[in-house]
Amino acid sequence: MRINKNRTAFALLAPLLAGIIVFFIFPFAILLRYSVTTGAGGGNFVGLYNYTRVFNSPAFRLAFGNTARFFVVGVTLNMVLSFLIAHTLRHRFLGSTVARSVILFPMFLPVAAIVTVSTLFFSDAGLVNRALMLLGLPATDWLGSGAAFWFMLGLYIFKSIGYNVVLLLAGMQMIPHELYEAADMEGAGELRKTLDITIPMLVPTLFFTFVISAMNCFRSFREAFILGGSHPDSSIYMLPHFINNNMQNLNYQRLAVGSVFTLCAITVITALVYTFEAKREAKL
Amino acid sequence: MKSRVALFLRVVLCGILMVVVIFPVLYMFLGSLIKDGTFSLDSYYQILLRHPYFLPKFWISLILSFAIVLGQLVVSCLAGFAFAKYSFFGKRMLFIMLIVLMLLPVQAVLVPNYIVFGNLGLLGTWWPLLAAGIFTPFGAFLMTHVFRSVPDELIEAAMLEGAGLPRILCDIMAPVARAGVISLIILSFIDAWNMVEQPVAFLSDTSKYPLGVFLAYFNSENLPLSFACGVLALLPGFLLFLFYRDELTRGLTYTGQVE
Repeated sequence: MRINKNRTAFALLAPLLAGIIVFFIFPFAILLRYSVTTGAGGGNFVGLYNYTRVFNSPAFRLAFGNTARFFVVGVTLNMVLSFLIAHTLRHRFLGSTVARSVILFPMFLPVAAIVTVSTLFFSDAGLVNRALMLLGLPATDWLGSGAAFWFMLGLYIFKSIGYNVVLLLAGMQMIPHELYEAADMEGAGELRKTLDITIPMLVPTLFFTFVISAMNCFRSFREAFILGGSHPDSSIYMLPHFINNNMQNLNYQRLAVGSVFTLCAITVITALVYTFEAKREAKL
Repeated sequence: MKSRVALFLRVVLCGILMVVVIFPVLYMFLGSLIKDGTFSLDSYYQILLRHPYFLPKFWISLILSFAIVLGQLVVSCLAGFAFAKYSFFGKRMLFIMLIVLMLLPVQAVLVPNYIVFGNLGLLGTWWPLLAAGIFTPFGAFLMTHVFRSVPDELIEAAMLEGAGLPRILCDIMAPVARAGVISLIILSFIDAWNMVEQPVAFLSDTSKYPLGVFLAYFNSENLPLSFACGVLALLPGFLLFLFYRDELTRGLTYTGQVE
């Protein structure tokens, strides 16, 4: 249905738009101004000077590199693992119904519980290290070394994989049975069916799975903050840390560049996947 | 035979999943009940009754979270209805913008928000937290997908009968999309309850921190005590999960469906 009433539509959108203008658009106007000026009040226009300085600074490069790596590795792993889990859970069997809802539970874990459990399991003398030592393996400093990156990645996937599984399971249930039956008649194996039927039919769902995974990926920095502090191991020093540290140093120019850059990067990613999705839909 | 093995592998995978999710929480819960090797509720007694902050914080956080949920519900349902059932100028662009803002890390706008709230003289109060929670863009995204699933015929029929927008929203959309609305309530509640960045940025006085942040920073050397903190922080979310997990599953499903 397409009710064609601009005025009613905008009246309905008014509260949201007001919020977006006050809390996102106006703030970005302020940031944009900070990013192209110097001085405390933002008096002198300096063009892209701040940008070149920030892009050349080691802290920003580290933060950007880590964020990009975390995003690419994390979102990919999250999608692949959730696909495998959804694929396993798609038929009913002993425990499948319980597993489907239990997997959503980590979403509810508050930061306090995550912090407690993480320190218990992953601190120097935590359960994981003790188990490793029992097996004769070396103990790892999970939060203070390069392992922190993988620890955070694991935490992100642990918290958000359930949402993906729910989306993918629903998508798999929408695929017509006839397709699989026809494939069975031709003697296609499980792998063939997955590659030629399940995945192509799931593309629209995968698109939304990507959007949700990306959202949860940026949200997972919250835990990184509390567990790693504002100066964590260099492997998990991300763009939000960069922004946050410059906030504490009151270096608004650097912070503004970081924020504007983050916004641009996210806009590009979103626009790319949306164009891709629109093209695919147009082909059908 | 082959399918037997496959089934066995599935059950094993399920088992591993459940252990990974349940074991840490169970460990935390049991740990909170043990002190010096024996069963004891002392940790809870310490936090709940001996600590001067806990109870007031609990109620304030609860009220704050409820207010945020209420605001989210209004903002998101109205916007979702417009995105799902109207065609208007710039709709596609607006929706893409909504997704961009949804993906944006909170830290990116914290400072300008800080400046705005500072100019309004609202720093150190609950208003910034309330506003940040109410205008979280995810709610509108969710409700757009939820309302798209409501058949147009229902709305058309109601319009023919002369029902106004409030009636259509409350009497037709909301009941039909019940699972979606419940999901929105749950998700915005957990989000509000677990809010961290905004309180830390907007409240300089740490004694004003809501419960979620307070418990997260309650770094005590006493293990049972921090276990108990974790359990208490988890409690509201756990209850919501227990009672509404099916609705939540159905509600989240909407966000994966194509128009």
